Amino acid sequence: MNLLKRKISELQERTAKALQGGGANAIAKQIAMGKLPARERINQLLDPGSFYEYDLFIEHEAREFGMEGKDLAGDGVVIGTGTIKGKPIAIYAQDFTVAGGSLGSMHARKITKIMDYALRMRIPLIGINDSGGARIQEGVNSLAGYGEIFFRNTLASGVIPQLSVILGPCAGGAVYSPALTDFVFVVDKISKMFITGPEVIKSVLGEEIDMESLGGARIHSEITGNAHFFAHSEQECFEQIKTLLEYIPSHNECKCTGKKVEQPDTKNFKIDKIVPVDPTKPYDVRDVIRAVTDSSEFFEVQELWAANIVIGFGRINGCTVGFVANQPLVLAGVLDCDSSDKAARFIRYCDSFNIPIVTLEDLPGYLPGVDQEHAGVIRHGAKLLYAYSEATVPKVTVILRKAYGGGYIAMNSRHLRADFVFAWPMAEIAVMGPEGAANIIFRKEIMEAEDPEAMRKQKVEEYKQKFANPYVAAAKGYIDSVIDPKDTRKFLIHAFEVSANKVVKRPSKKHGIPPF
Amino acid sequence: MKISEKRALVQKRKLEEEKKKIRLEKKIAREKSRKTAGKSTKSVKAKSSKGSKIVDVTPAETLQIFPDARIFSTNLTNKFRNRKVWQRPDTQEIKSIIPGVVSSFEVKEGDHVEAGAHLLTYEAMKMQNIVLAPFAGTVEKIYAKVGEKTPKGVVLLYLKSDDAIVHEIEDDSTSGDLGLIV
Repeated sequence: MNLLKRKISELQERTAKALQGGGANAIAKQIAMGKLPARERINQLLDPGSFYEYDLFIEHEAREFGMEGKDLAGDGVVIGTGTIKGKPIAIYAQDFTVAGGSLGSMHARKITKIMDYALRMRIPLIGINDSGGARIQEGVNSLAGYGEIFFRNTLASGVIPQLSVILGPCAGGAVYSPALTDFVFVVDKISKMFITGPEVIKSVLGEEIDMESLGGARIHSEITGNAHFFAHSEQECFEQIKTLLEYIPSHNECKCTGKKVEQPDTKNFKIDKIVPVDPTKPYDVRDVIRAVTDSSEFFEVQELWAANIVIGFGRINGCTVGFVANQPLVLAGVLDCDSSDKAARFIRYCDSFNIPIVTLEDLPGYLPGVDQEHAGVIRHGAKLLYAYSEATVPKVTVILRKAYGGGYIAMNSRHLRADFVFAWPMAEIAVMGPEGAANIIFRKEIMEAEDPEAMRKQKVEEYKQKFANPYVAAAKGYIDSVIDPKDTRKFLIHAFEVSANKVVKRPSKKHGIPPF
Repeated sequence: MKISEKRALVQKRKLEEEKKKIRLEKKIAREKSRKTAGKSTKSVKAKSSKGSKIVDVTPAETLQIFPDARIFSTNLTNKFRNRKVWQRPDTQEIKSIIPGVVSSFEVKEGDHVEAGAHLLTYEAMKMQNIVLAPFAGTVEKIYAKVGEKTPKGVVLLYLKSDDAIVHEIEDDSTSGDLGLIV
C-alpha cells in the first residue's frame, strides 16, 4: 500500500514539475508581454475540464553545445485532445516559456504525433504557434521536424480542418505550417509572422522596419492575406475559433446534421430595399447575405483583405453554406488578383468539406490596369474559374445586378456547371457595360451623326433596352429563373433540398493542375 | 577520323574560343562603363567558381543575405534591381485606390470632418464609390479636380488628423530574441 502511495506521489511530483513549463519567471515574462501561458490558452479555448494532455514527460534530444544538461519541460510544446462545444478536437500549443518554444526533434515528434491522431480519428486539428523558430543547437534534426509537420499538413489538407492560431512569433520556416493549413488566426500586437526578420532586411536591403509593420497581425489580415481572422485579444480569438468550428464539419465525409432553423431578421434586412436599382450606387452585399441566412447570421472569413469580394459561412435551412459575393462597396466589387485568390481558395475549401456554395453576383468585371496585368491577373483570375469548375458540391448563383464580361463567366455561371442560376429583375448580363459597348458597336453611327453626344446617349439607351436585362440570358436558358428578390431565400432552400444527393462523375485523374 | 576532319574541328574550336574572348571583352567593357556611370566605384573581390582567378564584381551583383556572413556573387533580376524601397505610408494622404474620376467633393479645404464623414465621390468601374474619412481631421489640401481622370495611387486630398499619428510601435523584441535558448 505504501509502495503504491509512493509511486503515486512520485507521479504527482513529476507532473507538477512538468506542468510548470519554463518556471515562474519565464511565465511572468510571458504574461508581461501580454500573452497567456500555453496551458492557460488551451483551458480557455476548450470546454472546461475536457483537456487531456499527452507526452508530458518527453525529453529533448540535443546533446551538443551544453544542451545535454538542460531540462526542457515537455520540450516546449503541449499536446492533447479535448472538446470545444462538445466537438472533439486535437490540439498542440507551443510553450514560449520553455526554450522560447523552439522546435527540436522531440518537440516536432510530439506535434506530428497529435497530427497523426487527428488524421486517424478524423477530428479538427488546432495548432497554437508561439515559437522562436528552429532550435539551432539541434541542427538538421529540427529542420527534419519542420519537414515532417509540413508533410502531414499537406496530407491532412482537405480531410480534417486544420486551424493555426498565431499567438506570438512565428518566423522563418515555421510560418509555412500555418500557410499550409485552412485557417490562420492572428491577434493584434501579439502575432508576428515573417520569413526574415527586420534586422536581416535592414542589413541586406537597408530598409528599416519594425516587426509590427513587417509581419504584424494587421499586415497579414489586410495586406498579405495570410491570416483569415483578426482579433484584438486572445479571448476574442478563442471565440472566433469556437464559432468557426460550429460552422465547419469535423472531416470531409461528415454529413450536415442540421441545426434548428430560425428565420432571418427581415425587419433589419429588407432584401428588396438593400440593392439600389441604379447600377452606379454602391451597397453592402453582406446585408443581402444576412437577409437570406438563418437568424441573419453570417461569419465572414478574411474580412479585411481583398474586401471587394466577401466570403464566409452562413446557414440556410439549418445547414452550413459557403457564401461568395462581390462587394460593390469596395472597389466597385471588381475581380482582381487578390479577390480571385481569396475566393478560389475558399471555394476549394467548401468543395473539400461538402459545403454547398451560394454565389451572389454584382460586378463590373475584372479590374483593368498595368499593375494588375503585371501582377499576373490572368493567372490569378484563372484560379477562380478553376475552383468553380472543379467544385462538385451544390452550387447556386444569384445575379443581383451587374454581370459583365469575364466576370459573368467566372462567378459560377451556368457554363461552369452551376446547378441553379437565378437573377433578380434588375440584373444586367452582357459582354460589357452599355457605355463601352455602344461606343464600339455604333462607332460609325456616332461618328457620322450631327450631334455625336446625343447619338451616343441614344445608342447607349438602345443597348440598355436590348441587352442590359436578364431576359436575353433567360431566353437562352443560361438563367433558370428571374425571381423576385423577396423569394431569394425560398429559392435557395429549395435548390439545396433538391441537390442534396447530387452526384458528379468526372474523368479519373491523379489531380488537376490549378493555376497556382 | 581523317586528318582533314580533325583539322577542321580544331579550327572550329579556335574560332569559338576567339568569339568567346571577344564576348568577354565586350562584357568587361560594358561593366566598366556601368561602373563609371554608377555612383559607387567600389568593387568587391569575390572568388570565381574555379577558385584560382580573382574577378571584380560590381557591388550591384553581390548579395549578402546574412550580416557578417558569406558574400555571394550572383545575377540579380531586373525585378529585384528595380524594387522600390519600402517607406512608411502616410495614412493622412487620401489616395485613389483604382483608376477613375472624382465626380464630386463633399468637403472644402479647411473643413473639419468626423470619422466616417463623406469626403468625396469617386467614379470608377461603373460605380459611384463613396470615400469616407478614416479618422477625424481637417481637410488641409485638395489636390484632385472634379472630372479629371486620375490613375491609381494618386493623392486626392490631404486630411490632417486631429490626433498625432504615432508610428513608433512599442516593440522591444528583435529577431535575435527569436530562437533564443534560456
